[in-house]
Amino acid sequence: MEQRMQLAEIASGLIRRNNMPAKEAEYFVRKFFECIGENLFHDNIVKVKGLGTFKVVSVEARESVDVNTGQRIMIDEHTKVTFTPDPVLRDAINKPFADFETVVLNENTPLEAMEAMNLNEEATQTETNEELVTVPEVQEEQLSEVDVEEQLSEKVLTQAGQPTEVVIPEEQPVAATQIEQPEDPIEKDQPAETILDIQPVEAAQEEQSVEATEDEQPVEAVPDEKPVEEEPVTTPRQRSFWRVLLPVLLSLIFFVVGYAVGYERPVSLPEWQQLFSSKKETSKVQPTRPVTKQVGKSVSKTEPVAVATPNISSDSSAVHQKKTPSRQPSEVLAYPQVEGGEYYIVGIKGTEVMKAGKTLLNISIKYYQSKDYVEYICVMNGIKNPDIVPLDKELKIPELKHK
Amino acid sequence: MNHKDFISELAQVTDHSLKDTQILVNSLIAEMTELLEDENQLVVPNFGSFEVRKKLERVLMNPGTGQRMLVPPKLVLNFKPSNILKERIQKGGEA
Repeated sequence: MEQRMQLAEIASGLIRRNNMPAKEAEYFVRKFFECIGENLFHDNIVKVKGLGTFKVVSVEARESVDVNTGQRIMIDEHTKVTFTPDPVLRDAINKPFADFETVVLNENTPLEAMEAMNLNEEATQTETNEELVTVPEVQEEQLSEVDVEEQLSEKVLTQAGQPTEVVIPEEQPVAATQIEQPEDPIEKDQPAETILDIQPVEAAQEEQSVEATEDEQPVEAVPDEKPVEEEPVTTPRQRSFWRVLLPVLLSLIFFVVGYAVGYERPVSLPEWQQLFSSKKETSKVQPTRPVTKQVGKSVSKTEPVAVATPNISSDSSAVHQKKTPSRQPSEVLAYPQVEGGEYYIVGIKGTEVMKAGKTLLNISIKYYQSKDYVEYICVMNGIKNPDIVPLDKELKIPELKHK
Repeated sequence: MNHKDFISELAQVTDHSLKDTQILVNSLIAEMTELLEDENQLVVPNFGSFEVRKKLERVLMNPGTGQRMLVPPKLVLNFKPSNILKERIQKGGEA
């Protein structure tokens, strides 16, 4: 029915344009398409100026797979009709998009930009609606975006690194409340303040909370980090400077600390439990924070110089934190280590020249009275495949120390 | 078959002069274009359907130069022959 309507519409257009009788117009339209079909049937190709080219193309037989059954089936040789629109028609159809042109992209940049856009969407989903309003200052937005991105990836990294993943979800709600708590006072106190300021604050807190969950001494970490979150709330000029610098700085610190915690010192279960109990202490400390923050804000407003000092202290605290994770013996770094192993390799016990008849197993039993230490010998000597050890290779036998 | 042949044949079938046929065909095509712009689809019974489809923008790589281009989105006119036309063509191919 609708189809007839469409043809009738074309016909009515003909009537309007050419003053021809209605019946004739419809007849003409029908004949027009019939004629194309007919000639296609005879000639295999019909060109109509202003419309395009209809062509009959033969398709060779080919093998295919039935989508439902997965069986191989043959598709017979057949013909199909193709239509290539005339450039005039093509352009007329594409009129809405005619202004777009193909752009040559520079190396690398565009795809990252696209990813950043995607991340932006993700970030805005997790953050408050007000932040959507802050978009105008693009540079800053991107920076903080990168910050968030790094944090996210960090979270994922460190979580993957932890053997006790189960504990983390329990702690995250706490972190979430931490993020929201201090935010409110700011909004109430200074509605005129740009929301962009909140973002770094939030970022800092987020970071802090994440750090707290990972750090073994969260109590220590919290007071250290406190000055940092006061930073973004300063005089405008200073603020814009720190706004740019702070996320980068924090993410850098976070990256280093996160890396150290996540990789060099896999946290065992008891430590996590410890952490969890100490975590409760910190959450008790939290509520007082908004108050101190307000004080800090008023202070830093009057004297912008004060800004620099807290940052330095946070820096030094970061350095301090960086050092603390290296609880391992210093010799550990000098030798390759077995990942997830019970022992550190701390020295060389002796050497053993590989001879026919000797096996790594034998050597392990000889030195350690157990066959379980083959892996340490492999790692020590860079042997990738324990089944293939070259003859006359001098093997270093590692001195082990229990972790 | 060229445009000229087509017009002359159509003129013969519809009992119009060549000139008239040309004018009519032109206005018919103009009408079709308008319709397609409005409704995106035009179905002609026993012949097939014309449809405007949107192609999304995409990144294209020139294998020779390694240059990457961003091709803008565009609207493309597609034609799908009806089953009746297909069958007829198929038979014609065999005969």
